[in-house]
Amino acid sequence: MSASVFRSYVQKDLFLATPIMIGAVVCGIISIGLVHLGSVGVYAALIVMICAGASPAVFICMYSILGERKERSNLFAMSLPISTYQYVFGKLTAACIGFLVPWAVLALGAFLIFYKLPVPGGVLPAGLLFWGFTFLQFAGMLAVTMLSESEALVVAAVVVFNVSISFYIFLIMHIPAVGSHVNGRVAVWSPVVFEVFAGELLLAMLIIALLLVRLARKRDFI
Amino acid sequence: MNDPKHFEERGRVLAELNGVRKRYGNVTALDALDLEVRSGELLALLGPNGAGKSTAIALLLGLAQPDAGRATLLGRPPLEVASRREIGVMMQEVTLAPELRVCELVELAASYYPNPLSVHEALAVSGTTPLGARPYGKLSGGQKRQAQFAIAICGRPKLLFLDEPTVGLDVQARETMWSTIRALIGQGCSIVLTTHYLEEAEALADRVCVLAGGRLIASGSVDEIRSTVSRKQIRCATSVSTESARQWPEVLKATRDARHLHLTAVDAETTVRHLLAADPALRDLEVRQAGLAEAFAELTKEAA
Repeated sequence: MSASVFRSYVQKDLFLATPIMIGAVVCGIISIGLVHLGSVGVYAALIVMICAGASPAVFICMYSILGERKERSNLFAMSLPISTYQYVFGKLTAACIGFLVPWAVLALGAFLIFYKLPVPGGVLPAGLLFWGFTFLQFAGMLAVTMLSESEALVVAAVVVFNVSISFYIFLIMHIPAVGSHVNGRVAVWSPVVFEVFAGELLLAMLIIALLLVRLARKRDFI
Repeated sequence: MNDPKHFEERGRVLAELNGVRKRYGNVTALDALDLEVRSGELLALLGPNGAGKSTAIALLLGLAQPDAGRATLLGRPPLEVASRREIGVMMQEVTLAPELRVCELVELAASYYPNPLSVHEALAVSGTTPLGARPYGKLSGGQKRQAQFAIAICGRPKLLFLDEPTVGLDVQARETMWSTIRALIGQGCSIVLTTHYLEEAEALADRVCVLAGGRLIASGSVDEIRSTVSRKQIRCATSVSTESARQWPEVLKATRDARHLHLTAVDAETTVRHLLAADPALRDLEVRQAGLAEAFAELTKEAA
């Protein structure tokens, strides 16, 4: 019973998130096409890829979580035979799948392209760190959206998290093991890159785990 | 209704608020409220806007926790899944996924219950079969309420919470919903109904609780609530003018339409004597007790 309730809930949220997941992957495919247009194409591809990577996070937070709360759909879900833990776990699982599936597909696609096509690969370590940051960014947005009761605060947080992409790129370019090889033809995989990437993933997972613990104790939904 | 077990169980407390208090900031939503929902009854929860009805329902469903006092649902804390498996809920102002068809929404909700009605049965019982294939987002307001009713009953609830169920329904749809509600009561389901339509409560309720300012100000059967108001309604075809009638001390209100004089009086017998003395030829005399609407108006006015 518990498993089927959990599955139903996750399936429902994923069904609603499917268009944005597909949209993100389609944008990723378009960005691959842009790579063939020379150096301008590569930059355009990067921008499309950044948008494609960030859009599921924004959609999930604004539509699936904030929208559900605004329309009181969460109260309907909580009136069904589902425990607070099942509801929160289902919500977080669906959100993570909705974000991570296009995230992983896009990352895999991008890395394959860089290895298969004759384009400079020096940017790959920075790209990996940036991609890890988008997961961290998603975890942060998810936490603010699920914990805050204020719509204005959520919107502000989404804007701040998206603006922080520029600062993050600036920051990683100042890490010598990353920044000094960006314009190289071959990727240089320093241990620092893997340490920072692992740190990003661990921090994102910690935020989501703490969020689950905090929200599973929630008792007031109005 | 003929099931002996059903009669044995009738009157058992299914849901209860015991001395609950709930505040939202500086606003006291509920103040020392005691409320019981008994097996086999339809309890109508009435009150003006802001009386605390929705908060009381939220506490019974575990969607909010009382600041003081205790809420129980089927003998357990309301948040326990075991309690939720035996209830159905139709909430007000809830938006469901507009992309999903009504039958998909019913199927999804039914998947949470151990022994649900089939989608076909839930749609048939609620009179929503024609809506089954339509996306929820394309339905009118009244049709959305009907779809929500189908969802609320799909788990074969022992206790059903209906919050303003007939808002936006046309006359025929309302009649269908009323008859389904009566049939559910007949099968042993208990219902908590909150409504602003007093004729709905009058037509369906076994027991009425009137809330105002977060407190219970009256509780009893419809007749008992009506009898708390001593005033009577008198109607007759007479030559007596409204001005003359207003001179009689027991008359509270006097109006006239094309054919009849309408009086509201605290003492019907004295008023009728006055009328007959003033116009021995009066016709079509009708005296009736105040309705639930008048009782509600008087009770909530006193509480304000």
